[in-house]
Amino acid sequence: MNSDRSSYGGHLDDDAIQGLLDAAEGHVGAETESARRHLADCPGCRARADAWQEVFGELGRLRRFAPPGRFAERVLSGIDLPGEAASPSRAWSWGRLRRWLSRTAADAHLSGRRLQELADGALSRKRATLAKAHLATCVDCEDRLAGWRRLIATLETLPSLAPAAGFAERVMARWQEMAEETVSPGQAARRWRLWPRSPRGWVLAGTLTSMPAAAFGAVAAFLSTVPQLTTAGLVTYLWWQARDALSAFGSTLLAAVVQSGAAFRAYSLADYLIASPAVAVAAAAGFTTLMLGSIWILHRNIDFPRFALRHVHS
Amino acid sequence: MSLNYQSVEDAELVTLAAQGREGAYRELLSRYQRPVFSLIYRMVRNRTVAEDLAQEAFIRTFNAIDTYNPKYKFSSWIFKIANNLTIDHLRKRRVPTVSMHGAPDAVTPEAQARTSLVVRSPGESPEEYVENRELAGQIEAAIGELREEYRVVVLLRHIEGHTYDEIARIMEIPLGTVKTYLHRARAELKLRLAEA
Ligand SMILES: [Zn+2]
Ligand SMILES: [Zn+2]
Repeated sequence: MNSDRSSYGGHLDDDAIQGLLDAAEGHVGAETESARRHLADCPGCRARADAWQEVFGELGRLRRFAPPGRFAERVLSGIDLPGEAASPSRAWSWGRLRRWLSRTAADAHLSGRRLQELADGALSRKRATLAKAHLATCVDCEDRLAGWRRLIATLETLPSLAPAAGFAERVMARWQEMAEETVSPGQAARRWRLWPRSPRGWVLAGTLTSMPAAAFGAVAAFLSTVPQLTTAGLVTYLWWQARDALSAFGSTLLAAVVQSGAAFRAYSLADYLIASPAVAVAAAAGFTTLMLGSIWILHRNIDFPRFALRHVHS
Repeated sequence: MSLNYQSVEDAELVTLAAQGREGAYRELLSRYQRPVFSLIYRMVRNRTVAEDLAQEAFIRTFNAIDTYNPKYKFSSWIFKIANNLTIDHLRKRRVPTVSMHGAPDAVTPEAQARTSLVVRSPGESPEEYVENRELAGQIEAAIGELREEYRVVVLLRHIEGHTYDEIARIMEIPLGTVKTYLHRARAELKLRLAEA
């Protein structure tokens, strides 16, 4: 079979027309659809199809030799002929071809899948209409459809099964318990930040906090063995040391930076702070407060924003 | 402040829940505990396991409540979580199958007898009895014999009444696959029920 001849839309050649007439007899090829469409609106090809149909008709009318007696009955009892094919004349009439040409999907039996989807209400409106047109004429398909409908109806009678009583309470309790014991919810996380949660945590925290105290204690114990040193003398000495270090740092900074106005102002400020310890302490305290405040705000608003409202009871 | 949660739509309930309203969580639970449990129970066919999995499904849903995409139905979302958990459970639990007629390499009658399963009828506990009665009957048995994917689609479609699109979303498979699974599942059920 040559499919391009009838599919490009040009006139049908003899092969295509014969193929079409064959198709009417049941040998359906992929190309027949376009050939049929062409035939429907081309009088020229239709005339040639008529001529060919004549030939087919002549072949069909070839002189028949009488078969032996009761041959027809013997054959018919052995096969299951569809109504039309059982008609005595095998001749092709134009009317019959036309009828075949106008055949729609409604004549074909419905597949199991199609029937299932129809029974399940899952076919598009167009497909459902086509399927129903066939069902109106086919008892066979209607029976099969009823079978699928029964299956679906049976499935839909199955009860919904409930969990044991108190299920919802148990889920809520378990969920809240988990929210409290996991690290992620805000409250638990914040508690974790303030207090160690395990014995190992306590040991670590204890060591870290007591180390400076122990070091300070050791130094103090050593100094107390030197009688010349008084507390006031020691503090004064430390203050001088710090002041010298700061002055040295300031000078270095001053030397490093080419003498810009900014560097000079910073130096003056440092000098001013050194000259007045109270101002220095206040500045340090203010700076620390600002730092801690911004860390706290970040922690509350960026780290765990969604847990803030979780345990509002309503 | 008190709200009548029963008259609130799913999507709105989720918003309220995300704001930390405990009542909204409780209402979601009371709406979905039965369908979610039902599905899981018919998949794993064991009440205790089904309740554990259903509880896990709700806890996961609640913990992820602020990732919920309101474009989709809440029911699709919670069923998706429940289905994933159940399939995971069934996959993990799956063991190499042993034939009732003995190991495949058992050739002599003695070896077959040695390796075949002993099918006993142990004294049933009251819960087991209830369970067996609940999932007894031809249809339940036929559903239980379907492979997992087919069982899920049948349960979601014909017991929970989800649309084909929703099932595709729940199972994370294409719509065409949903149709094929459903078609084959129903064909198998029909066959089994005709045999019985
Ligand atoms: Zn033509
Ligand atoms: Zn039919």
